[in-house]
Amino acid sequence: MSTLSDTIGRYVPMVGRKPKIERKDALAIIPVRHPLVKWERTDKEVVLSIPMRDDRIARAVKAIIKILRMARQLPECRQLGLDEVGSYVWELCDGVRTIDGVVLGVTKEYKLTRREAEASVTMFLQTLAKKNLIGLMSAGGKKSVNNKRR
Amino acid sequence: MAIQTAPVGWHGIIVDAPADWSLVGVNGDAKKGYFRVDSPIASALEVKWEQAFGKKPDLMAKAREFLANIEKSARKRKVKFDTDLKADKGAVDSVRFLWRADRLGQGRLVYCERCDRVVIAQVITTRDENVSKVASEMLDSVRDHREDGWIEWGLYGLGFAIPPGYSIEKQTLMSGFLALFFKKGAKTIVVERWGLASTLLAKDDMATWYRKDAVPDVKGYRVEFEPDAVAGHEGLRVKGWRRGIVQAVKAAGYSLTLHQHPGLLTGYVWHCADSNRLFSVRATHIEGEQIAEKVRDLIICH
Repeated sequence: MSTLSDTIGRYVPMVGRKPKIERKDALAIIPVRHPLVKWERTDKEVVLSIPMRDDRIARAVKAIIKILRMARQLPECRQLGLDEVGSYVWELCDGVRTIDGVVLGVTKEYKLTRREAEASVTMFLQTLAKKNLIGLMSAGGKKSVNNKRR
Repeated sequence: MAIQTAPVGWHGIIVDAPADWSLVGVNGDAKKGYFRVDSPIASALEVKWEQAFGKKPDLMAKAREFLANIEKSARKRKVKFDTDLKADKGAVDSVRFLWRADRLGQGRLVYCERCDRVVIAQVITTRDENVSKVASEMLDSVRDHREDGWIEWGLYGLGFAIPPGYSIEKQTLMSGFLALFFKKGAKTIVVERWGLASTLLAKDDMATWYRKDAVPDVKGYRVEFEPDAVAGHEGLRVKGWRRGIVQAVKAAGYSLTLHQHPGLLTGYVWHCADSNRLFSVRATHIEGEQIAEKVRDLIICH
């Protein structure tokens, strides 16, 4: 039964409650690595090379830094090393495996309980998504997201 | 195919739940409390207990009162509600109930004369999830004491028991790390479990890891450890002695009473490769007590 705010929210943006996502739908989401982020495995960890911003603001900041001689040359990308478990989760994010599949993989590899693995993996994937290192695609792709909004 | 179960419970109230069900909330003490265990899908087991204050309760009346509260909530949501209540043929002082609304509930009330506690356990499930067999088995397994008088605890696959008289002081329940601290006067027992043992021990040996991770939490005792096989696994034996002025003053204070201050600490740490976990039990005690050994022997690591 929809409330008044939900009804209004269908027509007026920013009004109404955010749609709640069921747990099984959340586990069916597919994490996808950002195509611009390069990565390589070195021994036991994965190292990500994240390209620096190259928009007008970033170029202006770089120019100011050069003028003030704070640095001779700024790196084109920054590197981020993931720990052992994080590296394993990163490699499982192949654009085909769902979050549930990643959780199952971690459960088997590290002998964690389902709940431990789910809590750790979902928190880690949220962190990666906030940093724009991965995207989260619903199982049906964009269409299913639009259908839900209707 | 038999479902793998693990004991889950708090303050001696234990239920054998499927291994993939998890403790999600705990509240209260030995006299009155509550815990909830969730299934991976949408079912849940709720357990409440309260003291009977020496008077044997009318379980049917208590069950009717309990169901009346659920019915009230269902009526507010304008949902049809019906119940079924009967005395448990399989056990004395036990009543079973069923209720149906937008969800389904299956439960049991038990009175234990020895512990003087009434325990109410119910499994709530959605109409399209069939857990009736699992629910019946869980409700059959409800128990609130051990024959030896020790108090049982169980969470996330870790089950153990503590001697009577100890109360839980603090718990840390994190993904990958569990720690429970028990106290009886000045004596303490600490039970800890770490996941991802292979990762923790990748860079350091067990003694170095334990010195960095756990020893800083040990206050008032000087500890030493030596390698020792524990429960058939690679492990450490921890020995400790009281130290510091504060502890000396406490011991002096205790010497004026009939109780001795625990001057010794004994602990065991072991790595179970089968479950990829590290376990630790340590207890402060007086000379001649073997508390840490007894608690250690009750832990099943895999």
